[in-house]
Amino acid sequence: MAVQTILRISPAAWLGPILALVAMGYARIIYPATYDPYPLALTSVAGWTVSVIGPTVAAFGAWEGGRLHRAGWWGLPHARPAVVVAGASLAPVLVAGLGALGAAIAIRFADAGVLAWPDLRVVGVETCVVTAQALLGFAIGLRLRPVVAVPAAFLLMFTWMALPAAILPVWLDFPTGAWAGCCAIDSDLAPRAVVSAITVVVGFLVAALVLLRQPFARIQFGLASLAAALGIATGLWLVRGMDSNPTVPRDPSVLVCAPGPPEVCVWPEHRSRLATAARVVAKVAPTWLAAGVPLPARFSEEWSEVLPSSTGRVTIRSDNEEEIVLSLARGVLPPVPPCALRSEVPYFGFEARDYVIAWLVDVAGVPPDRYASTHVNGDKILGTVAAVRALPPDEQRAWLAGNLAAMRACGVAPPLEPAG
Amino acid sequence: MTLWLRVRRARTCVAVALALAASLLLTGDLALPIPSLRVGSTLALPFAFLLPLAVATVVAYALGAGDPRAEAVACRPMRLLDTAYALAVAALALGACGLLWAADVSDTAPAAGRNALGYVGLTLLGRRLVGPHAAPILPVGFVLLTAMFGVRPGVERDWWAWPLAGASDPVAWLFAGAFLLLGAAAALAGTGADR
Repeated sequence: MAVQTILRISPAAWLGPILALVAMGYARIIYPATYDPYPLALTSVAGWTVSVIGPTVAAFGAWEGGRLHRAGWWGLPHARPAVVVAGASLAPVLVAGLGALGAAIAIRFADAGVLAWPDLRVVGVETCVVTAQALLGFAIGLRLRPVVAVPAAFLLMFTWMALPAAILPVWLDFPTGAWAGCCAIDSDLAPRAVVSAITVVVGFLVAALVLLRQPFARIQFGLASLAAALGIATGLWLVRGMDSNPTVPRDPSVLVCAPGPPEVCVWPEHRSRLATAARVVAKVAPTWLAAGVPLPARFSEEWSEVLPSSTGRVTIRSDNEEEIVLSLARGVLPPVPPCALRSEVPYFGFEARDYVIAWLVDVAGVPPDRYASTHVNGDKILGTVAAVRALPPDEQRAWLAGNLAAMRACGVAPPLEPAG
Repeated sequence: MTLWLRVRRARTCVAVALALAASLLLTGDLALPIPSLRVGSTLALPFAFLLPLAVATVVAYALGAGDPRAEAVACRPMRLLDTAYALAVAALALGACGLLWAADVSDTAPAAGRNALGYVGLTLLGRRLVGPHAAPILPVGFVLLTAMFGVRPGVERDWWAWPLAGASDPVAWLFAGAFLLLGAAAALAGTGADR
């Protein structure tokens, strides 16, 4: 189809720029899983716009299909293959949809000031989602009157994309391919979520092909609905029981590390802060060791659930040395034991954490009120830390050991206030 | 008239209007996330405000289901009958929603019924403005427009975003009624080219 013809007759060509503007506006207002310049997170947040782009291209596709429906062309003998005609009709629709998706990704990366390739897995899935919805819309348009097909295609696809996000459990949303919850810097996109979204795409494509098949009988509506429903059901089955985000721990082999001891490892997006972090570690580690603090062999930004016990979890959010000390103090603490999440035995470690972190910060030479002031009981924490710091070193060690023991196990009461 | 009612898909229209009420019962307070670009966040759009679009769509479908050339030379006042038919379907949808409200089983039913009136009015307008095939795009597009741009930070919603208003907002009822009357007037004043 000539470009001039497309511009003259295709709503996708007229409304495509508006769709791109809406997608760009939408991409900018969604809260990302992280504010780090993590290409996967930026791509996923921008990819969330398929929840609007998909239904819109389905409506565009339905209109293009409706053109052939009104002409009765699909059922007639024709010289050009059906796929060529459908492709020519859908080309402007796909250009509008994929262009809007590209614009959304581009604006999100530009806003974050990141010059990198978007995550190709997310881009690939979103491309498949847009294509499948456009083709399904086209098939609906081919079989129903445009007056019904266009709103029906839009509302059905919009309901599919938006409804799972409005109901629980959270994983109902993952097969749509819109993953705003992906991904914090220590996480990666779960392959199950990708497979699930592709399964739904396959279901939609099969449904579209069933509707496109000639000669047409009414039973094809039933078969197409069945194919789409099977795709959705399989997609949901694949992600059943997943956590609140479609994520898995990120591959630790991409960490960049500074030698220790203790070694410090950060994600590549935090590479610029590594030297500062290593300098701070070199400064505070001897002080903490002298005060009897058991230090891990390594500080790392890895996902905390997969860390070995010899590694302390840190998050180097900025170049600010005080914030780095605070993060290191958190990383020194033992992980929360599984029993803390059950209710049989009380766990007192959460309360002890605030006191110990404030003490560690004070020992490292940072005013403890930088940490304690953010707490509702900040004054109490500061008073306790001042009292502990006034004790002889051995008694401070005993206080620390008692509190660390309360963090490692359930049912152990921490000695929050120093004895005597 | 029996044939005319059959051509106008009377059973389908009644079924959709009643299905609207049934759907309201099933969906309750369910709200779908939709981008609200002026707020800078997603807006929880009550599903009940979207469901009446089905009524508007089926009205557009029914009005376009006849043979325009044969009806153009009919001795019966087809334009008047079609307009009355559209108003009757809108009234049926409103009545079904009203019953739910009277039975105290759905809080959103009156607003959904009101939106059905407005959406049918917009559809009738759409038949004049963009043609019978694209008529339902007008109410669908308007709902999207209000969701995306009808709410501002610090303002619950703009005065023109009547589909998002609660049932107790008299201005929203006024808008919906005005659109229905405007649509009916446009349908009555049609030249025949929109058939």
